[in-house]
Amino acid sequence: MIYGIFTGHSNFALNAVESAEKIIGVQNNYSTISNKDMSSDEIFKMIQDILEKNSQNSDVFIFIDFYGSSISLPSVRIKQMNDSRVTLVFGYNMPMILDFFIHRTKKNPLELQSKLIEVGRMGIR
Amino acid sequence: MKILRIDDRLIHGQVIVGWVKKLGLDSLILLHKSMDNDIIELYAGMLENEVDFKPVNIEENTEIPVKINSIYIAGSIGTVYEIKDKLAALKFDIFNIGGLRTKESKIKLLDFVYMDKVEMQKTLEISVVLKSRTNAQELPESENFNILKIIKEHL
Repeated sequence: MIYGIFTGHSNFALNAVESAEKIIGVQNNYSTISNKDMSSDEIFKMIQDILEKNSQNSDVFIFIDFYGSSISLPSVRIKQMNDSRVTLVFGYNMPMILDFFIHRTKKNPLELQSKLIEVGRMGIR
Repeated sequence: MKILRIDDRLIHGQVIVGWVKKLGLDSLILLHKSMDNDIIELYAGMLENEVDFKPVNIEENTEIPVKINSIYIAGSIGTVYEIKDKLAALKFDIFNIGGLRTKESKIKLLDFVYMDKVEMQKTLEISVVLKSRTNAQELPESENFNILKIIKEHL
């Protein structure tokens, strides 16, 4: 199963995933991170710790609320160190979260990434 | 308006949207010490095309460009302290402590500002040299703290 790390400003990630769980039920194999009062190095270490603790999950998607946020650079550094294992998704929305949980056991990371971008765009009308 | 900001996250959401976009600033100057080019490119890619972005490696003894309606960003008090005399010539309106969130071996001054005693002393010295209005503030409209007073209470 692909592991999910949802990140964002303040309580964005936690609230977004909890809202998704109201729709599709409680999920597992994911973490949420807030950048509140955290330095870049602390954000980096937090993501790295999650990856180490979940080493049984061969693939990990890191969702970042928008490209340019303080989580962007630590995430890119993590991606550089774990290129084949980590997929970054910038600017996520509710349809993407729902699809991630629904399809993460059925698709490989490349297929899932394309699917998420597609549903994310389609969700905006 | 010219703003000098110290923020250990450097260029991120608060800077890109909260300061540059909100205040309609034209330029962002990144003051760094031999940062890798790929990291500089990442930062540059975070900004909208209309923003004039200029990285300055302070270790190369290059001139610091004078840009009106701009924000100058450094990642640490030490970086600014090293070039404080050069920066004083730019006559900043605001010397802003925007975020120093590394907590190890530091004293908490505010939720978003942690410093050790050396950094506190250097901040006071920088403020004297710059002769700019000095504050600690995350965003232009968020709470504005008198960081010099807070530092003096901790020294």
